[in-house]
Amino acid sequence: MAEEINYGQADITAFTQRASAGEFSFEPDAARTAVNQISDYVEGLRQSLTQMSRGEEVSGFGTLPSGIELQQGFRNKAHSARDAITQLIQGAMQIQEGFLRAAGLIEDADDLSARRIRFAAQAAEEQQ
Amino acid sequence: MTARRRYLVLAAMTVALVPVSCTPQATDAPSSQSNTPPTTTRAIAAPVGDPPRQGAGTKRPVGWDPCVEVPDSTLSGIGFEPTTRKRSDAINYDYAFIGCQFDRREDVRGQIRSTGNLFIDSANVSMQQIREREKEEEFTANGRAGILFRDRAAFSCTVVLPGPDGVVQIKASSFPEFTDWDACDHVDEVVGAIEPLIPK
Repeated sequence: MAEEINYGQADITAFTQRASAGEFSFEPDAARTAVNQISDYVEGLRQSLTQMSRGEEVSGFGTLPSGIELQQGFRNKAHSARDAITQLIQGAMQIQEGFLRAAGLIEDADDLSARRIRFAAQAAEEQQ
Repeated sequence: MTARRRYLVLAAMTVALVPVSCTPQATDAPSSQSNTPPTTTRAIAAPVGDPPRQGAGTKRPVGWDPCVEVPDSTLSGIGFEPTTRKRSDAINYDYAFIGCQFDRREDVRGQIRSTGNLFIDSANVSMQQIREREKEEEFTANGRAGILFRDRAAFSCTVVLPGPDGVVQIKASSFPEFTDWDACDHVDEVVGAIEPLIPK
């Protein structure tokens, strides 16, 4: 199992729960703007993940006999970084869900929530 | 780089209608070549510059450049946006991956976003070197035998086929936060469209 990083998970969960309970609200347009800005961030993280994945695949083919071992060592380190990025993406999606619920955009929030849960399940499967 | 290879690079640029300024490499070729009209329809809307110089220890430089050889029509046909074409070369002392990157674009809650990407590389490494370190499955594209491996955390599938420089590597990824399109479900279609462009 991957090491968990502290990226404010407790605060994010509290935010989402209070949003679901109707303790505060946002105008739909404001919520959508916030969600779009978070999506910019998620898109950047996802691009970083694929760049890292490709970087691992195009490295470590040198002629030195230790090349493969060295490549494998860096690959393990890269996987730890990628696990951290995956957790950041999941946290960001949870914040998006909170904004959508606080604006009464329930259908969008449910859709995003289902996507996040599918994504988290797949990520967990990968880490096992 | 040999004079013949320089000529091939220039010829490929001319065919692809690449409007870049002449590089020192290009000026070595016969001047009449720079006025040669295009002879194929390998259209590229967002052309890129030359690949970088390859490493000092390179015995046989990579010559097949996916950024020039894969036309827009092929990319559109498999769901990638040709205008996102950009170089993604990885140069090392004695080997190189000469590559190109493309994004898939979709409307996500009213905004056009990248929902996946595609890397195509030609590299002067061997199929055997790839097999030695990846957990691969056998894969065949239009009769050309290669291998496939998955990176589930990156939601990507990579196919490696024998190519003119050693191997051609095709990596498709999807961004599950934004789309239901799964790169691994479409890898046959993606690789099947690119394989005919790769010299035997």
